[in-house]
Amino acid sequence: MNNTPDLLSPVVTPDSNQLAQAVETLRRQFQTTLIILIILSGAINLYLLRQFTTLRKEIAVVEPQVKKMASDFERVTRPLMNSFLKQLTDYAQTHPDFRPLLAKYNIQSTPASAGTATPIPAPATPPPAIPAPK
Amino acid sequence: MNKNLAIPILITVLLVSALSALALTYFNIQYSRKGRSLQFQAAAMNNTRMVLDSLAKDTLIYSQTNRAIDPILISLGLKSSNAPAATRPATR
Repeated sequence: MNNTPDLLSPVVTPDSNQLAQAVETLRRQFQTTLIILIILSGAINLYLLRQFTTLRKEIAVVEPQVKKMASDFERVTRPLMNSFLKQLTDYAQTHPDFRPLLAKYNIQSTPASAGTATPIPAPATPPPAIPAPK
Repeated sequence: MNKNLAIPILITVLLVSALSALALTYFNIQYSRKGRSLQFQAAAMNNTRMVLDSLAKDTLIYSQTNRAIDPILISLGLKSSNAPAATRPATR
């Protein structure tokens, strides 16, 4: 009659020694994982730092060159280009045989009264090679 | 005591390392963008120069058959006024 098991009491009760061992093992595993993660993170940091240093050095060299190039372009090339294009478009008004050449460079020959030439758009690819004169 | 301190220290080191990786990644992206922008600027200017150069050459070739364009070329220094033959490209 009194053989019914007591459901409230735990079936297996590990002793505190075993529990302490399990906790210690987990702690060690966690520490090892943390150390591995720190090593990996450090390696990534080193790589990123090297990359950053290289990029910074390259930009420090290239940036003044490009700025100088841009200022030269705006100071010298652009006025020359605008003047050249304006004269060519004006010329194309009186010489229709010149218009195909402008059309090849996608330059619209506006009427002379408009007064401004359409600047050369920077194409993605260079124009085809110039055929050799016959 | 020592065992209890090790894990918080390791977690702090990992956190600092992760944050520095994040910051370095951000700066790398910024510098890469800047570099690409500079490259694009330089390429655009070179391209424009190349197209302009090609147009000038074509105009010079055109000037061999139509002398009316010579004043434009001379005014821009693309052709000399007294030696027109000098600008003529070799035909053979």
